[in-house]
Amino acid sequence: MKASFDNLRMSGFYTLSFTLSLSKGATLIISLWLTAYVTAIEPTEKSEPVVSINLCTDQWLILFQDKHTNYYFSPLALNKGYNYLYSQVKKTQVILPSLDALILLNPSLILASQYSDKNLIHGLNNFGLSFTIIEPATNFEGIRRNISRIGKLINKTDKANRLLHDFNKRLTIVAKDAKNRPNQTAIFYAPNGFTHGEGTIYNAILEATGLTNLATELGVKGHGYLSLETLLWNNPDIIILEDDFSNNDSLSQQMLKHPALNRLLNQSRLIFVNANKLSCAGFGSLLAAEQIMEQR
Amino acid sequence: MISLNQVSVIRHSKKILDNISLDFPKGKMIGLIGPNGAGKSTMMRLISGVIKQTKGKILYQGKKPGTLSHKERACTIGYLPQKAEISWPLSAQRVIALGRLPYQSTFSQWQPKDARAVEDAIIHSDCEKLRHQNILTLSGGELTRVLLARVLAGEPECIIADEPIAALDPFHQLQVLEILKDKALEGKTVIISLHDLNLAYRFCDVLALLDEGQLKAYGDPQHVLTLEHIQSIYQVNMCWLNNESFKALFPISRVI
Amino acid sequence: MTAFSHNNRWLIVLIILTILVASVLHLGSSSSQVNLSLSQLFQASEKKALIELIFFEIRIPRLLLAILVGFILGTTGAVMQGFLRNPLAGPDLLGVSNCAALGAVIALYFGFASQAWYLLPATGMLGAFIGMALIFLLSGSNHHNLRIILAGVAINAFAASLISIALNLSKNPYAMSEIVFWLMGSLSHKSLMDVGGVFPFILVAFLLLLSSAKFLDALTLGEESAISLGFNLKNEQIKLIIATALGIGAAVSIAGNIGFVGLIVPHLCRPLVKYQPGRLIFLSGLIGSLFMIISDTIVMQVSTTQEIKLGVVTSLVGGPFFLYLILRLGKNHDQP
Repeated sequence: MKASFDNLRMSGFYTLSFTLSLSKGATLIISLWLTAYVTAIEPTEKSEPVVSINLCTDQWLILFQDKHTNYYFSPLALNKGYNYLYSQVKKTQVILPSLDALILLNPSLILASQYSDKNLIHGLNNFGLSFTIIEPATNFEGIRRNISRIGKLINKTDKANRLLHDFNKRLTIVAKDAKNRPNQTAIFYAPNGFTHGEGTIYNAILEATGLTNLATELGVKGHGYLSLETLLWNNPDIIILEDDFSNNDSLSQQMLKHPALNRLLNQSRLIFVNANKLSCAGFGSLLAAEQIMEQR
Repeated sequence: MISLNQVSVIRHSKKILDNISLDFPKGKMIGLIGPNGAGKSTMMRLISGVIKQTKGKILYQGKKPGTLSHKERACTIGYLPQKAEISWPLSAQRVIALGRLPYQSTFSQWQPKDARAVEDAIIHSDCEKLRHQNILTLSGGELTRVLLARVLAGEPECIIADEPIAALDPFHQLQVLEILKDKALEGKTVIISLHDLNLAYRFCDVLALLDEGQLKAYGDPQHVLTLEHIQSIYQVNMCWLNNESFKALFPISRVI
Repeated sequence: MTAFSHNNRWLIVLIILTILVASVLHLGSSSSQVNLSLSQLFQASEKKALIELIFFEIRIPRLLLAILVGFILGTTGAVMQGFLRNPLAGPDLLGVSNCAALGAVIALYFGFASQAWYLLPATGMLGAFIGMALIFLLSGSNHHNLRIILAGVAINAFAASLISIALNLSKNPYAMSEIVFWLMGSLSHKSLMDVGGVFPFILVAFLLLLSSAKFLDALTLGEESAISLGFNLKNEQIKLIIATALGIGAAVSIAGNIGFVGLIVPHLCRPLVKYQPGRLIFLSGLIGSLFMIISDTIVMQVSTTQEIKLGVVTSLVGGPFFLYLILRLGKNHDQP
């Protein structure tokens, strides 16, 4: 991206010099004006590029963005269904994480996850590009640690502290609100029976909102599976479904059409949380907790 | 009973049968003879309904071809192809029972008359001992008898057999021809093709001599099987050998 | 039916009884998570309404679908093998299952599947129909069986590659994993609406296939003999195409790609009907249902931390079993 823009400016300069040398007078005035224009759109001193090649690190990086930063993100960052901060990402900031693109960009830092393509990581090593693997948090303490860590990595510790402050404040509000509510059982449920139990960020979110995670009660460790029967049998007070904004109502909506589930909903309540807040453990998790509290 | 009226079969601009007109009368055994590639198999397939003619008409018992449905034709004509392509290891009895299929509709049941027809066919073809044997284990002669029984089980008015005795030993050759002759004597129309000119002369009431898709001679065996016809069409010099009861053709040399 | 259906009737009664037993086991099958036996349905308890809900809205639809899908897979396999006179034939080999799966994947991928109940089966059926039609077109006018099978293999590969493209271009990892899991085949979480959605198509398909019984018998003697026995080859082919499109299209669209059933079940049944292809059809359907019920019961018993997919079970059971069949058949030379 940046490279091609450079080329454009260089060719502009050459054309100008050529025109200047060929004529005088009006051409000179126009050329001077053009020069001023071209140099005017040159942005102020931009910092070194930082690239994130993974959705979760994208979400972190977006939070630290300002007009001086030069950040690049992975394609999923633009996806409304996956990234709650999608509107803050420009198309020009998205690159497909491939080795040649990263080498051309020559970023000062690359943020990756442990699931990033191993070959790519290996390649980054070989070409001496510095990268850090950020592991996803599984609870709110972990989120706090990630905020501090990333702030330190990209030299934005002030911003990190402000984020932390905001995070803690809002979390306290959620906790206080939760204390005033009755103790209920809840569960995250997705089509094909996917649910999330002990040791996941989903579990932490439910804890923060004062709800008991039915999946954990039933012994699900990590991400697991519960049949529809089991769900019905254990009769949770609240069922939380992820809403991923696809108009085609993917399988969440289809799942709702099952008559058994429909009848159950007389007893349980449905809460919707935006899937894009739950796709990664981060600030979005706090937003998800807030969204749950709104609907309780 | 079956008449061909200026029938031609043309495939890939090649005339496999060229403007043939002849009759196959009832109660007779008609032999189709001629060199390889003369069009004998094609004619048999044509009459059985396996292929369609390009030009001309075929009349079954005077009825126009359009008025005879597939099923009706199948009940009237029994076709015994040259090559046996049995796919599954059925017992001989079940294979013979397949001959009754033209009389059955999609969901119909097995009737006593079906059972009777099968039994008659088994007796006529001398397949009693082979009833429960796996058809894929039968020898050449046994297989031909079973497949013939299948054709007979359909109680057809017309039996068409394409070189039924080609791979059989002399005993079984005579046996099969005798079965077919009996059927002709009962009043059926029997059409067979063979290469053995002596057996053709002996068993057939009518002979039709084909060459390159054309009918070269038709009628009494004595008039069809002349040494001149044999020389010009088979390109072979033959002579007659006589003893008291039988005449036989003996090949001498090829005409080069 | 031939005169030999006397033994057949007892066999069918026996198999239906077995299916009933298997069905009871299936209904009462306790996944390790919910210990619900059939007897609890008849006892009074505070959770009575919930128990009835689970049985009638979850377990019974699942059982009915297992029966229907297994049935049509079995019958289609039997008819295809009879038609092509090849024991390897079946909706898997000829790529029809994959074509139906492709149709359904497109519906799921572009998201219009949920707009109306009939759209998903319809795309499955359309996919299956196009696949079958292409196979017969590709195999040319003389329709030699080998060419048909080769055309089927080609179509299978092509459909699989198109499915891969859909997976490759899917907009997010969640959509992709959805499709992948769907392709593996599953009967869980289906409702009576789903059963109602496929039942008419499977019924019509079965009746069409059954009507080919006599033709398949006639084909034992070869194509020419079959035609001389009064059968119309073209009509029978069209019937087969339509029946397969309806049956496999509906079954795959609801249950995903479940392989091996159409291949193995006819093999199991052939000795029981003394190798007569026409009598194989109904029996293969019954055994197909039984096979599916048993496989689904295994799925329910084994799925604890993760749902084991039905297609996985049928492949795990079916693959080695098929090898065993081939080895055993190699010893009896005259039995194909």
